[in-house]
Amino acid sequence: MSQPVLLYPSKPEKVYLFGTCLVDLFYPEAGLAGVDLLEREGIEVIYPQDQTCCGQPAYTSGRSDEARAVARAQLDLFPGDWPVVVPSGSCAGMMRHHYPKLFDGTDDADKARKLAARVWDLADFLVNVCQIKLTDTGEPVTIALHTSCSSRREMGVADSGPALLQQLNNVTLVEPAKVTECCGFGGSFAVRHADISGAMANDKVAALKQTGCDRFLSTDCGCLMNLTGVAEKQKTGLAGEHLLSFLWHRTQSNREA
Amino acid sequence: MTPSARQTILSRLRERKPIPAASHPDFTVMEQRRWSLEDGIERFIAQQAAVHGEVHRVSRDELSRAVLARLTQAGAQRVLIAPDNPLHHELTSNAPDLQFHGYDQPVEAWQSELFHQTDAAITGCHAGLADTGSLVVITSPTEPRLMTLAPPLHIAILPVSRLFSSWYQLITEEDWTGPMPTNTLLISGPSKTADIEQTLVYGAHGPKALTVFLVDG
Amino acid sequence: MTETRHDIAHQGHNSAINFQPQVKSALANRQLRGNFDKAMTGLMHKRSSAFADWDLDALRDLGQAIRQRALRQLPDLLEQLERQCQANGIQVHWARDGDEACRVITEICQQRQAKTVIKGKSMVTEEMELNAHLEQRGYSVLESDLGEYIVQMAKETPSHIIMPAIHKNTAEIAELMHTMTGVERREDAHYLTDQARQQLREKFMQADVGISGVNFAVADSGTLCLVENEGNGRLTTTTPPCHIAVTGIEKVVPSLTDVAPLLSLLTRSATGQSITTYVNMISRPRQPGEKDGPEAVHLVLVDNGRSDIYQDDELAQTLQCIRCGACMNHCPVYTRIGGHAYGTTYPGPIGQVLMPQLLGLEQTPDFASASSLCGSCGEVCPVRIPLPSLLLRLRREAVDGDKTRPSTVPGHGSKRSGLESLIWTFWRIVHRHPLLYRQSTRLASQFRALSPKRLGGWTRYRSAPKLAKTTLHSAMNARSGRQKP
Repeated sequence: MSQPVLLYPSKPEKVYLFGTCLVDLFYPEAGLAGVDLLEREGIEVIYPQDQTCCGQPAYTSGRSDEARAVARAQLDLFPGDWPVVVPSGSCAGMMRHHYPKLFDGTDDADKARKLAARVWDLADFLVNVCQIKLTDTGEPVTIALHTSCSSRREMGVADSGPALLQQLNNVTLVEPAKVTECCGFGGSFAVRHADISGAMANDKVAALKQTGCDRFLSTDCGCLMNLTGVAEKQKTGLAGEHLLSFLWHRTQSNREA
Repeated sequence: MTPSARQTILSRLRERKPIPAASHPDFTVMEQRRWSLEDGIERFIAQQAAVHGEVHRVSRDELSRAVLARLTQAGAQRVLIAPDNPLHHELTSNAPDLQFHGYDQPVEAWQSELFHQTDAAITGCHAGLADTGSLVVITSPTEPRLMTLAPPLHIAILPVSRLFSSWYQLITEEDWTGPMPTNTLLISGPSKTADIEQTLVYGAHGPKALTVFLVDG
Repeated sequence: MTETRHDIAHQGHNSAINFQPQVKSALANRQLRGNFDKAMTGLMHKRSSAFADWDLDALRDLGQAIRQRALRQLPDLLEQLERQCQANGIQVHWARDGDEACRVITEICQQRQAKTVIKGKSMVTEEMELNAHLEQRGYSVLESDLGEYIVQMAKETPSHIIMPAIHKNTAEIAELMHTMTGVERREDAHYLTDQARQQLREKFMQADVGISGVNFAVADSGTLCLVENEGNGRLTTTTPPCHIAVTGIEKVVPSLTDVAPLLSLLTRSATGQSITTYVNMISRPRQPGEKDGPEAVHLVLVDNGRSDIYQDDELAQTLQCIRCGACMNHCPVYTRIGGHAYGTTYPGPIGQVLMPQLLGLEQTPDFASASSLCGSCGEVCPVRIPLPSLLLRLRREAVDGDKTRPSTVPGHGSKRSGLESLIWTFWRIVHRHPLLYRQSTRLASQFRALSPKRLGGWTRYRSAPKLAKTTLHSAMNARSGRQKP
């Protein structure tokens, strides 16, 4: 059936942050930027220290038993009724769309369904729940955005990145060719089918480079790691950054005391 | 006795546990494809043009002259037309230098002639479809299947009154359930192919040109 | 039951599909990649403009509902189709597998004392390798669809289910036709098409039997619907005295009312056309007084593994497929490696889902994993087959990865290896125990200088990822310490 229309909650007092393991290990600044942005909107951010991983790596490798064991360990970490925001599209997609299937028929089915319904992509949350207003404080810059396939096709929030960037007066947003095409990450796909994945990633970096952008942004750490890895190996000079880090840096000085 | 393939397949299919009821098909999206007569005519012409089909809107009085002009333009000499076609008499008496024939014997008797020495065929149509610019052709003993396929030029006569919005509208209004005629065709433009590097070429195995005369009154 | 399916499906495939080396050579072939990239980019644009004036979501909902309803009634519809066809004078045959279908067809050819067979495009006959079967028995078999004609001349198989010769460019085809048929070597699609038209016209007139596929078989009227642009399908089903239509059992729908929306979806999804040149509805052989058409029409209903796929609610969605090819046109993997790399009748996402079920997971070990799960295929499928979910299902089956759901696909568990199980167990333990996780990730950050610079296939194309100085856990811990002393 067609994707159900997202029914956004009203702006809450508090949210939980599910940081994701890639942000935890490789891009903590993106997680912190997300926290800063939320706090500036007057929202208290709760970060349960016992969180680890959503389970996606095992899940997409067919290892549902292991994925379920790890996902189950996350289910009780968000006891309040607050939204759970996630700074990475694919992990948000895992929790929102795959947890109900993963736990279907188990004792935790109900719990998983209820948690799934509270999970939001952080960028989308800023746009559609916080209705954030951004004031650009940076120098003119040209930016290309790579929206992850999960954000685009699973979460259906491809509009949120452009909606945020268009608020920044000094940012020129350029679109790479074949903007909707996958960057080739796909988790274990990048290792199991390294040559196909590499060909896709090369093409995506070339398309980004072709835009003449000063840097590119992504909403998903998997895509970011993939594309920056290629750009660096090829010494293209093209730098990548997480969308949230970029937004925070561009708008910092208008932070209210 | 070993079970037949039929028994094996059907019983395997029936082994399945009951299938959960799915959502009921909602045909609203098909019903919405409706055009007024004038918009429909416009769409029909545009859709035919998009697939290299040519449509001329003419009155009944102008029809035979227009058909002859098209035949002359194509340099057609040998032309197929059913003897019971209302145009048959007008055409044969107005163009004594053209050879009009009926498809009046089984194909086996004149296959090579049909494929190699026939320049054009003139047929009627059951209906026209605005949505896709299609002709609906029901083959018959006087207008057999190859008549609209073998000659390089196909001229079709379509009364405006037989223009429907879509195939779906035609099927539902005429109730196309149950037994059907031997062969029914939707024809949209001349035959074509894009199998060589996506290059569109008209006149693959069937007609190279299709001209429709849309007849008022 | 599973055992018989194995035997059935393995005809012609005695060893596993050799995917990886085929991928390597396809990726290294710049010409091939250029041909596919150009063609698929064009097809994606055409498809999206073709649906511009439609409520596409509603139309896809309808397509899905029609296919699901038809599948729900499948055995009844097949019986109704058989009754109606027989009442119309069409002879109906059933075949459990490809070999049996080949035998049925050969018998018909023998009875008619046929020598030459002409074919319209049919994927199910590719699936059962009918041409080879007939040729071994002395029949001359000629493909008449231009793309198939080219592929047959080159002694290849189709690389796309709708556009069989999409992997070749005009120069390659000009060279091939020059060598094989003696026409001028001219890189001109118009010239080459016209030459093929002339060559094939003679063949149509001489053929004893015409064999075609079927796009939709209509139960309540006993009508076979064939969709095509070239007219070769009409010639194949009209000129020879005998027409044999071959179809998978899943292609039956209740009535022509169901065909109309499916046709709207099929041609737009496949090539971006609002309709094909011909929609050919065949309901009977030549009747008394009619001047052309075959005197005998046969319909062969082929199972070949479909009734097994039918047993599972989730996997049965595979059978909704109307063979438009949109999933491959939009697949970033297919676009880069082309259809031949898959080495099976159906390539691309639908092939990756269908072939493991037909051949067994052990024969197709790389199929389910050869996807980034980007979701493009599922997004464009006109009948909403959840292709990414089905790929995930097959990944689970391949490693017997879900204790709560028994595996059912043949060859399940064939990819479960001890080493990988050990790695996942380790992964599970670390991520199940927050303290262990925090300690190990903190240690990893502290000693990040020691992290490996080479990581298998990853670093063949990329630099190694760099661990951050501190984890988000530590940073958030420090932050809350600051805020709440």
